[in-house]
Amino acid sequence: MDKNTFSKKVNKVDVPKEDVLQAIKIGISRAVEEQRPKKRKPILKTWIMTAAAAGILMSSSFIFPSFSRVLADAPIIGGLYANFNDMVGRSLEKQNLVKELNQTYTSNGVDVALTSAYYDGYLIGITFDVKGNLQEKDGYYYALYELFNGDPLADETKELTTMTKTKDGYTGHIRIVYPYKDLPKNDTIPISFEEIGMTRGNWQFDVPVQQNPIEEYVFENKESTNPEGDVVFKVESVITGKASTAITYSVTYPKGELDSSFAMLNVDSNSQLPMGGTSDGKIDQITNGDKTTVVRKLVIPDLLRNTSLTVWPSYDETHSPVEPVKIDIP
Amino acid sequence: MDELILIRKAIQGDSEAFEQLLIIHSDRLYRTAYLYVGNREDALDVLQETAYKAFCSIKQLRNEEFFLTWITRILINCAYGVQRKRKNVVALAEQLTIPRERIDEKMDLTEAVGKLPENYRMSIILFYYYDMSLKEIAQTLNTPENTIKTYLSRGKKLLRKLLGGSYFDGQKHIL
Repeated sequence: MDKNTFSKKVNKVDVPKEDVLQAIKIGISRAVEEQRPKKRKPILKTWIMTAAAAGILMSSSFIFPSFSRVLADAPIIGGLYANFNDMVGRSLEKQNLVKELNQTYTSNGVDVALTSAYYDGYLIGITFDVKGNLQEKDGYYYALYELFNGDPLADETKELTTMTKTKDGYTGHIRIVYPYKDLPKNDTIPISFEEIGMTRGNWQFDVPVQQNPIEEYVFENKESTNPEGDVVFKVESVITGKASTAITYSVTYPKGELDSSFAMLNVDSNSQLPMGGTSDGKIDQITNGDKTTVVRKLVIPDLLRNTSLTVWPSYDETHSPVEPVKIDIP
Repeated sequence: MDELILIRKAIQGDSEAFEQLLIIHSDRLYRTAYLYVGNREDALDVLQETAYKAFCSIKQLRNEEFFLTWITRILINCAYGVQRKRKNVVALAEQLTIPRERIDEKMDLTEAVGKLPENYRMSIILFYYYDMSLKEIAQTLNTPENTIKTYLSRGKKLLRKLLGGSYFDGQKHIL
């Protein structure tokens, strides 16, 4: 038997796609949950408050019929974003902060229509519909796209997303973390799709986005070092939008020694942080003499308010870790 | 597709990128697990455990190009774990039931691979299904190349026996 025959035989083993996807999701959620620092929850207090809130809600809807109407109108899951695992999109949709778009482009018999966009803090979300004859790969429909014209200064510009089948085509969703340090109030995001459902082509869009109002808290003296004093960690600011939070921070280290070794910023919080969807990326790097300072931002897909966070970076073990820094978000 | 980008994001702790990566390789990972444990339920357990363990330790992946090899090694360890648990259950069940005579029927390939000793099975899967070279298998399993050669040769002989006749006579590759 040769390799080909062997593979053919093995590939005859049926793959239960849905169950496989579920197993992967559960496995990852378990890991994410475990990595998150354990919190001491005031269980009784929460329970009493929840019961009280439920009580008030129920009784008030009897007293004020208009309140019941509002409850009935409130979407349980947002319309457009119901299909996508994007809590920011869902939250903004409820707040009417997702802007409708109507841009279409056709290439190689495949139509792409951008349907909506949001811009909250560092996060930009775009939804799109596709019509055409798409091919699946390993049971999924993929779209490969490039952002910001592949700007080498941006941290990540080429991405992949999966689309789901709808009644009359496919629907997909892109979430971008704005890759530059300065956040403009208005911007136009260049996006070009390169491959959709195994069809190569060129679908180009310039997406106008307008940022939701943000609040920025700039910290002074929120910094720490490692025992040797050759790594300095500094929390610079917290930026909150309407449904997301970003922490910008910098790490200074001996030139060339910790480059590309940063993992996601560790966060310990007294409130529940969202599972998944958090991202961390570089926004600036400055070398001054024999020292390098890298500026990064952690984007959390949830609006954090009135909470304390303890944060510290992870980097190559060749250098000892810095002390965690506690910050308060008003 | 730009898998390297997804790998880099995953190493940074991006769980969505990691999920996409696993989805890309899900068929192969599931089938490899199936070759080990021989049934759907256990294969899904192995996959879940692999996703969990791999995401917990993704930061340790030093060389992005070896992602598939790295995750396969985790999957194999998880499969051993599930198998060990199952063996204990089977051993207990056998004590409680009257021994039956084994029905000698022709096995199919996946079943036969599942019957091989662990070392042979691994080498056979990596060589035939993952299309790895002897050198790559040696690196993945942290075992000398000559030992892998022996595992492959013995594994093939055993498979031939299990499958019967000339079903498995591919000597043309390296051995």
